[in-house]
Amino acid sequence: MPKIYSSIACNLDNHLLSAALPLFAEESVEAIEWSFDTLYKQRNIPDWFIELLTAFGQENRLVGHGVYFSLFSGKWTPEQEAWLQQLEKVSGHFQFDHISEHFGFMTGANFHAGAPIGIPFTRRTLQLGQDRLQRIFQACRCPVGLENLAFAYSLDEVKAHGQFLDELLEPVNGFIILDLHNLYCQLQNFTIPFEALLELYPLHRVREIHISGGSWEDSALHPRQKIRRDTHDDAVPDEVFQMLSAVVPRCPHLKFVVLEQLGIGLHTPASQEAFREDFRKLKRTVQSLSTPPPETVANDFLPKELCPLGPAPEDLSLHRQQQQLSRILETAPDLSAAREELQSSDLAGSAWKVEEWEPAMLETAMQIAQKWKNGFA
Amino acid sequence: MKLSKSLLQAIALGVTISATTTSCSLFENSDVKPNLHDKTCAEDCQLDHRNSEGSTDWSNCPGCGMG
Repeated sequence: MPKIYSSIACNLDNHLLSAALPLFAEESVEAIEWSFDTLYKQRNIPDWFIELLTAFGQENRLVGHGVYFSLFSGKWTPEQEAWLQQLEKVSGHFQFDHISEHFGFMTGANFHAGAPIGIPFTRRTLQLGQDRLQRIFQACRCPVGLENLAFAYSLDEVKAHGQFLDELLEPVNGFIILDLHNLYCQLQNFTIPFEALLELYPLHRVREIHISGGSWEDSALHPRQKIRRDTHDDAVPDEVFQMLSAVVPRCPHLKFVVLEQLGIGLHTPASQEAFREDFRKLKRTVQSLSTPPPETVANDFLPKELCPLGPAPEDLSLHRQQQQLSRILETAPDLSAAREELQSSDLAGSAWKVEEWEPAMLETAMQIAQKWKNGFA
Repeated sequence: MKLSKSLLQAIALGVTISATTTSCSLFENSDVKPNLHDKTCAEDCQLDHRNSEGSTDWSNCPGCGMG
């Protein structure tokens, strides 16, 4: 097992950078992850932030994490084309060790709004995703990967996610970001044992792990039930650290373990200190586990062979379904109205399997879509 | 990883005063430009949804908080 870098998600945010500065000063941050497509509103980027990215990039310790590409949108958009051009440009400025994106499609009507939501696992969506991952690779010319999604409509979807990721990433020899808090959400929301879930993931593809905190959301449907959300606004739960200890020795190609927290959860000196304490605990944990397993073969996570790309494929039927689903999630006044509208939409009786969706998770999808429909405010 | 003292001082100063007095041209010619209006805006929307030049509202990563 190569050296594993203890890392932080580092974006241009005062509170986050204030929290991280003492860690930088004590030289304990070994790599940083930057969401390169989140500065679309900002034309003036301070030189020191560029210098920070450059310093880590020159040591092969900078990784890029996209947010807005919307890998599985049925329709190929000019914004996606522009996103790729921007990625190519940014990749020319900074030396990324790898580039990743989120799984799913974005619900928002605007390119920079909405939340990533799951898609049906079909041959057609697989082909769409494989094509677009190849386009991402051609723009950045470094390893490309995807993060497992926190949200799922059903236990069957949870169980199938790892296998679908594996097939999706195969043509680009891509990697997985295994977000342990996302898995933690699924363990809580679907009552599945961690070991059973882990067995369903191709751990040989894991090159990066995320840990973070989250929050509990009340369910109006089941007042005694709470839904775990991946909101990244609190300290890392002990259970997630235990998951980290269990999973690291099983990922032979792991290179980065990243602590993620949003600046909105770091407004107080106490929360900033808790962030630093989480990072130090992450680093201690990783250092205690960095034992190479036997018989591992190096993987550069670069494609072995790629087919020439033609025009970007689309699935307009999928696009129409996604538009209908987004509208329902964003505007339905309550769960019962959402279920009724789904039953009369193109999604009924389709590969989306809306009939099998857990009601509490549909309720959660509505909360997520409505929270993010106007973007990050 | 070791960062230079001058960079650490610049970050400390930067987060203290939220200064954006210097600029990088990396995003200036981006085709992904912010729109005056969102697609979801009403036709008579009077709001400017773009950040003004030099704003200190550094957009954070929404993806990290989703879910």
